[in-house]
Amino acid sequence: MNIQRIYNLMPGADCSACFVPYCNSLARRVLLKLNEFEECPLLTSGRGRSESLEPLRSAASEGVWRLERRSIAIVGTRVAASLPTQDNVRPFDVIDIPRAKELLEGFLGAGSVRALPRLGVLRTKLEDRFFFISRDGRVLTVAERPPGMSALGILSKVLWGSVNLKGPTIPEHGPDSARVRIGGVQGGNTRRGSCERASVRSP
Amino acid sequence: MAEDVDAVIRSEFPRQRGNRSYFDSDSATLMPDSALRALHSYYERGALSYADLSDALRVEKERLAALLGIKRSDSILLCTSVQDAISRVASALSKTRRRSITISAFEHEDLVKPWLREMRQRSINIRVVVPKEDCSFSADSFASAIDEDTAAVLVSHIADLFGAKLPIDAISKAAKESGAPLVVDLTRSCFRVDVSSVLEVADVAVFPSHNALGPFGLAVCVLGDRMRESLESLPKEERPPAHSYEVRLLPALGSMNAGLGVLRRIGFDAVRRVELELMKVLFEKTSNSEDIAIHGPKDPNARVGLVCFNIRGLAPEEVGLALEVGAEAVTFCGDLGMPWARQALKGFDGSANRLSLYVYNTEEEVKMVSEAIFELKELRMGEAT
Repeated sequence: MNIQRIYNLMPGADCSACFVPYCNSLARRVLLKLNEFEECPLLTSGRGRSESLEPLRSAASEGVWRLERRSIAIVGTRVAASLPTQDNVRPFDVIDIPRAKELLEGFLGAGSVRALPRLGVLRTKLEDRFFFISRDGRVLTVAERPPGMSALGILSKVLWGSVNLKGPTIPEHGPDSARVRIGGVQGGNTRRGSCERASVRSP
Repeated sequence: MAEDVDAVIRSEFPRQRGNRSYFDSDSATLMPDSALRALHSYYERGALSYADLSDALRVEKERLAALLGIKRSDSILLCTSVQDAISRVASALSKTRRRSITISAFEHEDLVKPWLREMRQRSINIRVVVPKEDCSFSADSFASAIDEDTAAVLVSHIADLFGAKLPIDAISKAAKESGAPLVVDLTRSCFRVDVSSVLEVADVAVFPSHNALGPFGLAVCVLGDRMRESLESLPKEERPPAHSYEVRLLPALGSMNAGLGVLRRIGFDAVRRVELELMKVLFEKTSNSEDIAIHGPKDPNARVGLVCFNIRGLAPEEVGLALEVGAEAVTFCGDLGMPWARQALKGFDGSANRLSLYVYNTEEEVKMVSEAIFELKELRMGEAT
């Protein structure tokens, strides 16, 4: 499953009418079973890039199995936040690098992640920014970062699409806004948060 | 006569202190057991009177003078850091009418900052001597940058980016001819090579205790005869640290002396021999790869065991993290603080990885870190960060 394939089928209007700030955010959240494609009024009214939801559902179903294994994309330790995707993941687990590579490639496409399991490190590129992740959970991004954001904060937000590093940064909503709630583990980037962010954008 | 190196290393640097290999001796050397015990025993002695402290300070200064091979213990000034030492010397020398300082392109900015601060009110000219293509300096290039207007010549004995000695004798000759004091930073060399020849020619030589197998919080400033006399002639308020100030640094001095004592037991010849062996292991694996840029000479005989490098396409911080996680190695990564090197060397943005190979490192550790460095280039994604 490649998130890009799914995103290509989304309307791409970034209108926030679904209360999620960007179309790629909605696509990722659907894959993680946090939202439904039906929440997008453009898709349901046939104004998306495909006439029906079937191609999207089909593309999404290819990769759903990855997310049903109670596994994680990236788990942070020694940092203030974590990015679990399912219930049974403890927030400070050690990263299984081959598994993280598999999952990230599932999101981002084959060849988008380089990993050296022997050394316990992984490197990926998201929106023109390199992220370096070690098996002890540290996340490093060397490029200039928005003020007040940790590397993991940026990574989680880029993965979830709530910050588009290419475009204007959406205002922060308190110190916990970099955290992600999935499966009831951590709080922060909740539906309400997304809704608030959406309200600052003109549809 | 130096003792058996392995036996001294085993007894002074027990392996059980940690599982990680330590390759950052140029930031701070590990402290041997003798130095730790000296620090401990100082505080165990209980309360000391000012007279006791003064006596102890005199004894420790004489001990340090003997370890460094200098004749007069009153040539030694104790400060809290190298920058503090340089600040005090700059403060005394800034009254001169001379208006330029000469530095090499490999100098750390901390060595120059105190002079800039002192001479902020006046227009100061910094003359930067640029290295040749192979990163070495010619004696002539320094001679042409030193004249009657030179207030001071500031150089490192060993530049960390370059990994080799600067031509101190030639620089000293040029400085002496024009009457400019020579200030030498021994931070990278005091624990690697015998610095007694530099102490003979330098007007001021400084090194921190934490690079001399001692604790943090102390720097030693050794003054040449000419500099000592000129500082003694200054008004009281402009003179370097008073005795009462130096007494506070006594525990660190005692501990550093114990550390330097261990270094004397090992011997600089043995340090050099181990360095060469370890460099050969490192270069064998890494120097033939085009993706790994090693700064300075690639011939181990032409440099010391201080190796700065970059892996093309990877940020030094990424490499540092990977070496820590994957090879259990503590290394330096990041900005080397050399603004002039950035300008002098094309394609070098100022940050690099630094491996400091020292006498307590083993061949197995170096093999492990070399293999990790070699492997890491696989993480590149076709473009530079």
